[in-house]
Amino acid sequence: MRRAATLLALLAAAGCGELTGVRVVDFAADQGRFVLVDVALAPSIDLEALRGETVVLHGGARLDLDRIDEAEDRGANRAALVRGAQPVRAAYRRDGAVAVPADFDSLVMASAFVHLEQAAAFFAEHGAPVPPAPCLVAPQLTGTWSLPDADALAYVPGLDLFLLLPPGRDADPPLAVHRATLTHETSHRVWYYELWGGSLMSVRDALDTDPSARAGLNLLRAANEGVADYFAAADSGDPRFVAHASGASPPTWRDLDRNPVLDPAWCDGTAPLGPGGYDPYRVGSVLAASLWRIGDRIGNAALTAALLGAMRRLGAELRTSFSYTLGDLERHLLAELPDDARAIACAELAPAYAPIWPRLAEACR
Amino acid sequence: MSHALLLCLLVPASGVELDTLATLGVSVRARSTGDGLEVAPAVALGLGARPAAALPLRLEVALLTDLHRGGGGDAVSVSAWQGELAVLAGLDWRALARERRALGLELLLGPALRVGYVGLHVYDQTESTWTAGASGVGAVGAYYRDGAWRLGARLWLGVARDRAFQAGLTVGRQL
Repeated sequence: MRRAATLLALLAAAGCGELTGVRVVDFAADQGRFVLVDVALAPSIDLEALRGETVVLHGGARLDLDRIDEAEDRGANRAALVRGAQPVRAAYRRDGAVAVPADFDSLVMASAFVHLEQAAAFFAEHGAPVPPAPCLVAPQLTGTWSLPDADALAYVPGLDLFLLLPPGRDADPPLAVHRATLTHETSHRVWYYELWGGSLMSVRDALDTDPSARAGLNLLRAANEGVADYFAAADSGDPRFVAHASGASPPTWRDLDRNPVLDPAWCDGTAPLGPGGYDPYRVGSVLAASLWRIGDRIGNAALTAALLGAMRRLGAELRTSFSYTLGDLERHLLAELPDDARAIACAELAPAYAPIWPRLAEACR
Repeated sequence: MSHALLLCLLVPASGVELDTLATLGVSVRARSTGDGLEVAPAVALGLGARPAAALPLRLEVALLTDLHRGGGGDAVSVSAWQGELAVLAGLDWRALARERRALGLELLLGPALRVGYVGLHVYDQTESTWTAGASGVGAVGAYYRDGAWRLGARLWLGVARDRAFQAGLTVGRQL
């Protein structure tokens, strides 16, 4: 009888005490594979509702994509456009002081939550904190246009929120468990706040009526993607994170440890074209790979700080008068760097940006 | 209490009725995403006792489990199982008892030992976790008894059981 009582006491004790960590999936760049890792938790985190300092997950939301045009900056009218959102209720078991997700949805949500919090911390450490934002899990999307695929992650600037679409049958592992991918998406949010100052909608409305601004906006999208790829690689230490996240047939041209060169046909912002129109990733890959090489030589911390500074300088310029040509972000980046680092950056940029180098080289003098 | 229960279970004498009971049904729980419900097959097996025919009292030991699984794909998946061993006591009220037939209502409550397993799988890496903890279980049901047999329906409610409840049809036989 006493033995049974002791056993019961031990079992009861196993379920007590404060949780200090959660088990999630991530890609280990040093091992070249996905692994399970235990991540320490901040005391303020609500693990069941997955509510943290910079992100909170919601399920059951309905979003009419056709109404995104009605969005006001910083999610001001988000409540009117996103219906039915409610807290998620992730399920866990305890392994000592570590919470172990008890089902697949909980594992994916907890992994995405942890990676979004880590990405926000990465940018905050470099002087670019972002306010809290919601992340809609498997939302019901309606409207005449749609996102390209299931298992997509997206940041929607108009609503200032993330979308985490359900993984499809071929998404294995899902994108949401890949930290670098979430750093990439968080970079778009940092771009929105640091470059646009959190006021993009009014600018966009004005530019929509100006056809000549379209090419500049395309090039700016390309810069946005290139910067996001660089930050994701710098945060994760994995220059091939896109290939590692993409499964069986990865697009290796987005590897940052390759040396892509700017095609002269890409310089005016009308090419290259992809299935959905302008493809910002090709031009972005030239910037991302150049940044990766520069970071390798001057240090990613120094380059990240300079890049954030360049985004702010460019944003101030654009908000005064919108005119963007290829190389403007790079020009501001060079201005942000100290002399010795600038010389290194110029040496790395020159071969990749050969078609526009005569104009960009002025910033190297 | 525990000695009394053992006596009731082991000594089917002096008016004590013993029976076995199986409940087959479904377990319903809220999806972790907060959107909708998940349903899975569920089973409960019990050994019950009515200490005295004149008393509307029932004691029962029950094992409950369901087939909720973790889910996932080939690369990342979760395997999970959870079960409970509950000791229940409560009301067993027989209305409309006629000869060997009766309609009954039961309301049972008691503590439970909850045991669970979670396996997280990422390619060839597996992290297994067994857990155990105290819980509580309640059951409410109705049955029709004809001689040694009883048929009925039951709703099981678990405390801290991932917000799940079980419901099903019961088949029992007096020993």
